[in-house]
Amino acid sequence: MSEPGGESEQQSARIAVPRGPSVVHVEQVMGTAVTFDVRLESDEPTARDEATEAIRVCSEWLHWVDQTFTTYDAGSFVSRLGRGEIAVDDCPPEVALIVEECDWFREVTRGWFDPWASPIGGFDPSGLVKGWATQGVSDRLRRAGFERHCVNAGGDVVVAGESDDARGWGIGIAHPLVPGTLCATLLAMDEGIATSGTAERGYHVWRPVDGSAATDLASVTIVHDDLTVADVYATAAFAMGGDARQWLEEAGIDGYAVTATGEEWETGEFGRRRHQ
Amino acid sequence: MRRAITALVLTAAALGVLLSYHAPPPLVGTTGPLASRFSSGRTATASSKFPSKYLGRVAVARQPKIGYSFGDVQVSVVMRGRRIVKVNFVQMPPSGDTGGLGTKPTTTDISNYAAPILEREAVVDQGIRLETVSGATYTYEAFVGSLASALLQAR
Repeated sequence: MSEPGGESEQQSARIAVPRGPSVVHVEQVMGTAVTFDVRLESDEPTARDEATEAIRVCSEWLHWVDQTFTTYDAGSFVSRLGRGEIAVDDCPPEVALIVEECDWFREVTRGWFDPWASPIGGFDPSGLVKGWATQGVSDRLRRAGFERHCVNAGGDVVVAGESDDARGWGIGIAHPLVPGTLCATLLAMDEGIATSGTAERGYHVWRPVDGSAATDLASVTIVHDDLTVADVYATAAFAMGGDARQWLEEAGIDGYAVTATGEEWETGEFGRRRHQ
Repeated sequence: MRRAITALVLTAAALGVLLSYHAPPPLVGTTGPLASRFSSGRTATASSKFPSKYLGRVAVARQPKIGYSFGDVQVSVVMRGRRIVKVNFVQMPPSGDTGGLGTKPTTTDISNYAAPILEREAVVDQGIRLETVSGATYTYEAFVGSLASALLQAR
């Protein structure tokens, strides 16, 4: 009767379908897919309509962020700013905010996060903007009265309130070396989870020090109250490579990494969210 | 005795629209008890991916195509009873330029890296309700929605 490999029979795999009323939407924006999963407190059509409207407004805002901050459009504010054609004061106020944030994070990451060190030149704040925008969506949903939601922008996640499980949202971390599998599962609530890695986009983070591709780690996952911080630290730690372990530990950041050779390490209190 | 093992192969496509978890995909069977519940479709591609001893039942599920921008994702799931034992992408979108920075790892890259750790690879969530995935974009979103549909169907 026993199964090979000593696997437990008590646990069955469950891919969650929301139990209660919810609105789920996927928006293609910022070069990726943003999934909104908004849980509702009632099944009334009006609740559904309100959530749908909130998601629409958030999506519109994301498209605006995309147009403003994209480096793929030579005509965007950030592209023109990077070429020195315009000043920060000529841009929407959000640009000044992001420049300020980038400057601050460059300092606290000792240059490992450096939007001004892109090998193609200019100013590329995308390592921060996606996290900031996704956190912004979560904050907007909350202000609109939707306390329980999950927003996932291309693998950067904010979870707010309770999901069906009062302990938190079930979050898988994509295994960076084995597509289609997970390397960890977490339960988290009111946090941002950012993963920087090779799973989908290959080696896409440059080391600010010498412009070479970062290759020590296959992926780094950071959990933090604010997804902006998580996103930046994940990018910086990925660029830093093996040394990031001690750095994250000293900075009190909860992180988890899979190395290029498939080993794993974690820092801070990352493990308290681990399921199992 | 060893419990029946099911392999499901899903073609998943799920971006740009409202995910409708409850809309059942047309399921397509090949052999075994599930077959009679399904009507038509592709079958053979997945079989070769698994040792024949694991193929207690094989079913192929196909999601309606709804605008997946990088091509179809085909997911194979090996189940032992109701427990997922293994999940693989049978078919990935073409590697290469993903429209962003860098490139997607090629199949060769993945195989080289994966070989040493495949043996001890833990599978999808065991015992928690997996609601989202960090570190993956298109494929997981497509995958989770269609897998949920397929599992609901298979019950």
